[in-house]
Amino acid sequence: MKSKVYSLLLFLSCLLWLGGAPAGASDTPFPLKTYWVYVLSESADEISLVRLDREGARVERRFKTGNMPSDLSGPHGIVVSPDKRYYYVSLGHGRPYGTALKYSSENDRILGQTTLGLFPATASLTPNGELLFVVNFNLHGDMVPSSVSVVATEDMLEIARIPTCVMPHGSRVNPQGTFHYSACMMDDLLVELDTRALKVSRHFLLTKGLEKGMAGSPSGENPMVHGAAACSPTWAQPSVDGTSIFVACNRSSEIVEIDANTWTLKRRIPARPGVYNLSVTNKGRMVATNKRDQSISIYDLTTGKELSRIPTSKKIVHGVTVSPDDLYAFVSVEGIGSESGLVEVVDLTRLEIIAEVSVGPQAAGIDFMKMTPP
Amino acid sequence: MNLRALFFVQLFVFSALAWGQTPSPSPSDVEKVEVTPSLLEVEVGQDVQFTAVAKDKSGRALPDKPSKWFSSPFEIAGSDENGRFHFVRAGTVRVGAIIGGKPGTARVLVRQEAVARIDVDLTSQNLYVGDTYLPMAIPRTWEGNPLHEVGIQWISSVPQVAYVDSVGVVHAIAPGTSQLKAVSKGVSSQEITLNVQPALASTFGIEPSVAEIRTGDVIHFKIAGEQTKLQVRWTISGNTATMTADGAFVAEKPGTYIVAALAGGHIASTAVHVKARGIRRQLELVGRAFVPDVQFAEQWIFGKYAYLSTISDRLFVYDISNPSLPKLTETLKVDARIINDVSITPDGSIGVITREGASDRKNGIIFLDTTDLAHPKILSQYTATVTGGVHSAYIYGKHVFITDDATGSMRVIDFQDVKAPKEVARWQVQSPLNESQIGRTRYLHDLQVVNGIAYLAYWRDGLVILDVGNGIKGGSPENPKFVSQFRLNYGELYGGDWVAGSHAVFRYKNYVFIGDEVLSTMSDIFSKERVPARGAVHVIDVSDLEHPKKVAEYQVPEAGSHNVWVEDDLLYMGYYGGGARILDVSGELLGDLYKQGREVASYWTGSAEGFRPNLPFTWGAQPYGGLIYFNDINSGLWIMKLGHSKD
Repeated sequence: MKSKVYSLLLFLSCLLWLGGAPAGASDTPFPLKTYWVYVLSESADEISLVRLDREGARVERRFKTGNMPSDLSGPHGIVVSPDKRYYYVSLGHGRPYGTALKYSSENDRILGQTTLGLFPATASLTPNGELLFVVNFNLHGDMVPSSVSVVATEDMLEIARIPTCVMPHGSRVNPQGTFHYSACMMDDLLVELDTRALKVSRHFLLTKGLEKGMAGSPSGENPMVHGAAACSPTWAQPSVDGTSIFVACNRSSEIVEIDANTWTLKRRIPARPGVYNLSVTNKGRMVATNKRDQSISIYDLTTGKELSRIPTSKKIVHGVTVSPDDLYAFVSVEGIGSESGLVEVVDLTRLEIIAEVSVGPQAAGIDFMKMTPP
Repeated sequence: MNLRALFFVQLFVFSALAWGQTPSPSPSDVEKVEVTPSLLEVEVGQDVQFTAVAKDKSGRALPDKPSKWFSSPFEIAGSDENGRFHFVRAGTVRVGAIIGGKPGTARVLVRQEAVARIDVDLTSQNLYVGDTYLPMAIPRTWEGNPLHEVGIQWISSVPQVAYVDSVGVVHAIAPGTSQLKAVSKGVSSQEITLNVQPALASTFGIEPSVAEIRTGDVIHFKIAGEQTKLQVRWTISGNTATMTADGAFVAEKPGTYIVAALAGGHIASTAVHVKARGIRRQLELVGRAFVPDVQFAEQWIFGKYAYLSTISDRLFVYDISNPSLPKLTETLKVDARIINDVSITPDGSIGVITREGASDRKNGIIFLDTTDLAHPKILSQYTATVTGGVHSAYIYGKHVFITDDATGSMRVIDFQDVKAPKEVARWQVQSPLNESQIGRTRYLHDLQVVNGIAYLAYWRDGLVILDVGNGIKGGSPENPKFVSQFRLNYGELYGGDWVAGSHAVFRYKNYVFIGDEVLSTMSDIFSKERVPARGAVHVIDVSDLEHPKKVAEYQVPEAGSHNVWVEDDLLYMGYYGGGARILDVSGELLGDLYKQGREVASYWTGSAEGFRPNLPFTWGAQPYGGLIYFNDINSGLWIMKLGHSKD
């Protein structure tokens, strides 16, 4: 009898494991739990807190950010601290340098700020929340090597600005907190930083046919001609265990997987046009935004196969964050000109969009805030 | 493994992963990093050895060593691998170390005297026994910013010849020579040689003799006859007037003033009667153009058409052949969130608009085919080196001079081949503190080119003058050459709660008019709340281009200056919350032009249907064809004409 009970429990848990938890009542696509994500609107200097619950999705709070009263500050990257007490926003524009802001998630008040480099963009934190890494994207024309800024978050001090390569983007720290990864769009490079020594430890040439892992800083040895990047990487995403790094090749529309231990190429996965940002689930899936394809793709990381392509209602698909329970992906869509931005909510079980929320124009950086029960 | 064990194993793994807990890193024992000395004051140039100790939760010291030493901001101090820091600039800096992924810091105040130099404009001064003389000096920071609030002590080398009293007035008491210098915070000025001669035996008179002038008129008084080289101390008595050290007089209020000259132990005086300027005129509304729920930005009036850009993605074109009834002929939509500037070549064939906030983040400028002015079409764009956004543009021949938001630099774009425009030059102010120093900026906001000279409103760096083809310094559009710079201390002018800088620039006759833009740090251009603004127009005399000097200012109380246009001795401008303004800038300009009654007209451009109802937010003005076009962010285009006198 006991073995039958355990068999039943095992069967039920497998259902949960493979199919995900039920989204909610059978007559609604919306969850019983409540989820919150922060999203930035780069052309409206706005931060929106989007809420998903059993009633659907909506903007719970929407407020201004920025530090230039008459000009666009261009908030681009956002990351929530592991303890959920703070979140950090990068402002791309400045006079001329951009800024990182530290917010209290309790009341959305600014607690500190620091000046960074030219157009600071994607941001990420070490698991202890002590160090913030922001890539200085510097998309302002000159094809010159830029840097990754490191900020001590307690007092918002920029403690290092580490030179890397041209137009770094896609800042992500591995789960162990030991290495930071970013990709340089115009150099076809993946760059690894040692988060303790605050220096470049390795880099990897991503160009198809020329793949090569190298030690140290990329300066001066890259065979790529600036601006002629074939891959044009826009995102570097460590796997959940940190053993692989997935890189989105925006130009060649591929996802490249690098073995983080051997620093060698594992595989190139064909992707949709303009694959841009990536996020991984705990269950071996990857969600990718396809900037030029007006769609979202979901991949099985074991096989590398696309499980679903989900079209979005507006153009310029940007960022993605996945809920910690792997049930939902929240995707930002920029829109064009005076169009509003969007947050699309994807049910990762049904593989379909279940809600769409209008936010300020050019919705860009997005990160998961919290869910109930915690 | 039996089923029970398998279940619990799976349950454990599932629980760990279900809430997104990725495999956690090895827990660090480091709870705190202590850096000592923890609080320190040092001087520029000093070296200090710091130590860092990691401690666990119980406060026990751990053996771990720093993986990295750092300073923030970087430019104040640097260190070796062992925590020995060298301090190179004044300011507050945090120095620290990372141990086990945890940073710890110490705070260091690096002291340096704020005064880097003291400027005096004389090398010698002739005095007579009995004369008093008020010497002038300006302490400056190392950047050249004036420090008006720093105390100065004057020291005379031979006080028996000339002594300086406690408030800095020099008294000539005996024939002879003395060296005078200004001292502040240990910094000394260049010496001024005081040559004191015996008292004059004869008296003197003042010229010219003036019967009557108006408020705002400038009279230059001087000693008559043979005594013209006397050092004169000028005084005035009367209502409200300004008298400069070299005898220039201007009154703000009507009335009779007594002007006195003290020199060589004698005194002479003359009287001048000042009457009201009496130039106030009506501004009469001719017509309006307005689109609901839109914030307007720049305008350009050409021929029978008005081009209006927006704080949005649209450019509106109006037929103004009947100015009382402007008719919308075209709405051009581009990929941008702000079209801040628009202008058209003098032959009317090509237009230029600037972009900020484009969705593809390639902003730059767009060239328009305006041969059919009613229906402009996009010809080409230039984005390659100015993707970060362009705020302002000025067309000069076949070049357009633009401001690059991203780098705070001026870019010169050659559009000889308008289908293939190219960058031919760039220029920017150089300052070591611009490299990421918190609170420092490099921001070029506006520019104008007149007779081969570019005038740049360079925000906190003030007015910058470049030779771009005039020849004074051998410059050209392809090779701009620095001529001079005039700095203002915006911290002193407006305080810390305002974002302030040189915003707009316009050259007219011997003057450059610089409009400050001063906005509250809390304001939001996209909200419908009132946007608080302040700011003055500074009048800079550039008759000597290499030595610009401020002579006057125009400030409407509690309103914020914005864009300026000057033509036929009248200055037209949008004064944000102060509405539409017209100022008489005829003759010589000196002192406070607003208080002198030089305002000719003003108009409240608030509108009930405006983006912010009943609040003027006037952007700028352009006189054209006998009418004046004022553009308001909230309420669109106001077409006006100057009417009859109000005085």
